[in-house]
Amino acid sequence: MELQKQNFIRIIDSNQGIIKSLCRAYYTSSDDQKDAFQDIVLQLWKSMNTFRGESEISTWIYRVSLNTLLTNVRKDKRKITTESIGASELSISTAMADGDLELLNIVIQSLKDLDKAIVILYLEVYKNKEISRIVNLTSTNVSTRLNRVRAELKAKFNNQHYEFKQP
Amino acid sequence: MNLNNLKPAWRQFRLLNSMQSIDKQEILFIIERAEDMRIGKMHRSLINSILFTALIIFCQGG
Repeated sequence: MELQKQNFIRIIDSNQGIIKSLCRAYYTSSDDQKDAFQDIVLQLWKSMNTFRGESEISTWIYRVSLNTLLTNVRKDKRKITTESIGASELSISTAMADGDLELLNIVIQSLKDLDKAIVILYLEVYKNKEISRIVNLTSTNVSTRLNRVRAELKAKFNNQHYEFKQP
Repeated sequence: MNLNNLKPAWRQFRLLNSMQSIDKQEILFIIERAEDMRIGKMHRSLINSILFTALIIFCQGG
């Protein structure tokens, strides 16, 4: 059991970037982010025995984390608004926010909860089929939602002057 | 806007969030509390089952 716990801590430690990024994408206040982090860790621990190694461990973490967050935000009154928020409310601290990160945050915060999960998985370079398995939707549904998001973002940001730095 | 242009920013965001090391005691506390709750639930279920069985056996009308 102790070995299992140590192994679990190691998994969380090496994948904390995923979990914390998702918490920050769904919650703006640090208390809410901390609560969400704890909920995700708990769900991961409970479902650890169900992980059979058929997919990457990061995929399993995305699946459990996003399903936990989506369940929480549905019933959580403190859910962040799905409307666009101003730069002063960004959850990325100003110390780390360059132009691209700021734009990423504005885009993510402007999305509805499920669309947000799909876009994050898309940014993580998952294929539509993999995304559909993670968020329990059909591939067609994922594709449709992504196209709709693209159109909405195009309309929303078309008249604004956001430029990407070239990598 | 092209979503693909946001991919490097997402990678950077994830990397920034992975730089701070986690509090191992906090993780242990979360999973041990969950175990305690599970054991407590099993204990309560067992006691309730025994009480219910006793009621069925000894409190039959007739």
